[in-house]
Amino acid sequence: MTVAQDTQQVQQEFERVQFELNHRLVQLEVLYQAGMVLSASLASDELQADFMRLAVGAVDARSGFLFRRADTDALFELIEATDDVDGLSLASQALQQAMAAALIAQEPAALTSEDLPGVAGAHVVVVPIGDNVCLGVIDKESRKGVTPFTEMDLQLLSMMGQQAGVVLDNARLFHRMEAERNLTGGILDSVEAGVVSTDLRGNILRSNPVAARILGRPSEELPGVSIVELLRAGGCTRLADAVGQTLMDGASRVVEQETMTPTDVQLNARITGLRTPDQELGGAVIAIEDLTDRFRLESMFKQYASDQVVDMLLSSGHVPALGGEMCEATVLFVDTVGSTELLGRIGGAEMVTLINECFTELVEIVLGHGGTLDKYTGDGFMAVFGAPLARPDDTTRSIRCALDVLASMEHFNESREHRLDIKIGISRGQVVAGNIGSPRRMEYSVIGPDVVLAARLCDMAAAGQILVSSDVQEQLGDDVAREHLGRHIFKGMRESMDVFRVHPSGAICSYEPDTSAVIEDRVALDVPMTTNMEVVVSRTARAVGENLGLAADVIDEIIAALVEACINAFEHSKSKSARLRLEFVPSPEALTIVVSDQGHGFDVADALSRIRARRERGEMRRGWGLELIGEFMDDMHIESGPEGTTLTLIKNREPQQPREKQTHG
Amino acid sequence: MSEKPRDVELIIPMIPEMELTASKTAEALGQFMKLDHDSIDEIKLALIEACINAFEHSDSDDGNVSITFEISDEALTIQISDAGHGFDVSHARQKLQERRDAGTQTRGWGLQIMEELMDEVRIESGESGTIITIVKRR
Repeated sequence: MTVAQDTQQVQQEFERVQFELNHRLVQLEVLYQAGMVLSASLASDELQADFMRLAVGAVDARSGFLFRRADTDALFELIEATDDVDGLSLASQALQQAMAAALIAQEPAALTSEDLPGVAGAHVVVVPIGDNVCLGVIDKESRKGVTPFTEMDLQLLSMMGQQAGVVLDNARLFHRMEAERNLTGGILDSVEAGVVSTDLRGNILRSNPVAARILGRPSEELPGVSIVELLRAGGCTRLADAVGQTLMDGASRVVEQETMTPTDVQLNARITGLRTPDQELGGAVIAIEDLTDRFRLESMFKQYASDQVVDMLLSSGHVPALGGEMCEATVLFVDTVGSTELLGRIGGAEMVTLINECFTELVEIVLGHGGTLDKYTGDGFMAVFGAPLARPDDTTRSIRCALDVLASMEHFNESREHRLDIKIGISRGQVVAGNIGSPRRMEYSVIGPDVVLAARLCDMAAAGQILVSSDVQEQLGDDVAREHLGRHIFKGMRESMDVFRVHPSGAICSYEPDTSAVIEDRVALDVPMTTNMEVVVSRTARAVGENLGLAADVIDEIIAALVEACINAFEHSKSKSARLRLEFVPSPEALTIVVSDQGHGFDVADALSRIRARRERGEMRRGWGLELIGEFMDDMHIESGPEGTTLTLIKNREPQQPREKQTHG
Repeated sequence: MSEKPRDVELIIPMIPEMELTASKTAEALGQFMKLDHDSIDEIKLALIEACINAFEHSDSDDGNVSITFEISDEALTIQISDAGHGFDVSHARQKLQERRDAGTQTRGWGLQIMEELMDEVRIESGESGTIITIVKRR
């Protein structure tokens, strides 16, 4: 060998080593980059997409793809591919088998178009990433055209796969931990009590915001702090001692009525030993209940009333009793119109989204006007003005709120494909306000006849209408346009009620307070409970029906129902006054007849069930009255009690123009 | 409302033809009392007159006419009352008579018709309203 040959050989060897070193350097750079990319995000989906693009670039591949399978028996599912790869061409059984083999061997596999018929590429490498994901690269491109992937490419891809597999596992673990932490944190944050967990030495591990507030230290400062020392320094010596004992023996303890001096919080606490899965004592959990008015009010009202209302309650010194209290309040019901039909058209998920978006806006308006959200009623809600805090302008604020709610719906519907309409009913009167429910679930709410009336007014309203009771109407100023819609008998109510419609624009119709306009169109008949007096009732009913222009067969049905009702009352009411009162109340929609006696009443549900039982046993010869009445009328309600029985019968009619009373002299 | 067990009380709004409802109630009560057809027809006519008088002239605030049918073994007594402004009965009778004598009276025969149809007619009127009592003996 000549010197020149030696020199040439050395030169070639040098170039080869230099090439290899350069290549290793590139590999290291790629792996470093991959590490940077992979560690920059813990979102699995983003990681996988970034990793695939990195791998395609690192080995000069034309295309790339990523598959995942849920478990070892399942087929692979394409999760990412470069744009030029047709998903269908990847769905071959041969590729699925190759990827499954690569995952089992945990090694990359180089394949050709002969191995993978149908896959658009001459050369394919599949690389396992962790246990369930497979990366594929297709066709190495160089100046020479498409070439097979080199051994170095396979090594690089293998190392990248291992690196990504570890990071992906970490990401999944992180996500699982994060989900669990969020769940635990969410639960902790949402509970109304303060919660602190400690290790066996009494050092705080975790706490929720309520606990931090009670203890008077920011949440982030609490971990590591000794709870026993913190409580003792705050003057809660009994609680501090009890925690210390529980950390020794693991027994649960309750401490009542201590005051945390720095925050002036009066509290009750329950301490429970925290045990490891093998039942070793590992620390303690302390649940602290804040007994002060502010906290009680905030926890009672934070979801339902504006901060302003809570502040005013506190400054007023009027803290609502835990039981009920009578007060005067204005109740507002909002209901959506045609929601069932809309639900059928757009489906449950979209409907829920629409309703939630709508109510989010509307409830803000209610709170903004100082109202309290009482409850959601499916596709509507109920709000109260005047409870827990009464203000002189409760009713006017409720009306302004209703007008703003209607106006906001126009804006809401402008930007949406599906229109949502609402209607509103408002009433005012004495209510009982307080925590209502069972010990399992108590909510601050109001109940009373005017709550029912507001709901009935809301039922009666058409889309876009605000209907109010006379008590509400009387408190409105001249600037609020309203019209009298007459008197109506509502389900479950003995007396007919004046109904007013409030108009959104003052220009439509201005209501002139005029007592002569509020006159009753009803016919009242009071008869003795004497045999054949039902004939007098039926003749009067016929004349009323004829006067209203009802059809003859409709009048016959009304009379049949009334005769049954009269005879029932004559025979069974045992009324001391021995009189029966009937009111015929016409409205454009219906004729409502209220039949009331002053008898001893009866248990309606019990009577109906006994009648049913006797009928089933074949013992029933009479007692069909109620059933007949129900058959003849469109609707019927019975209310019975020691003061007597009231039967409300409703016969629907074709809409009519209300007639005017004679006022000329 | 009266607590007398045999009275029937009816309240009607001052709406056109509502007097017919009152007359139907009266007819049923007449039959209940087993009065003869002629008597029942006379009661109905008198009652209709009384109701229309109240509808047209009472200028009542509440817009209602209250009718009490008092059933006894001797008679059917009907009281028709309104919460209108009332009037001076003797003065009205005198004015009516003067206009009738002068031949200028074309309407306002209601009172006279009632008196001819019924056995007894009494009118009490004041600021709080008017009560017309008409009696038909058996």
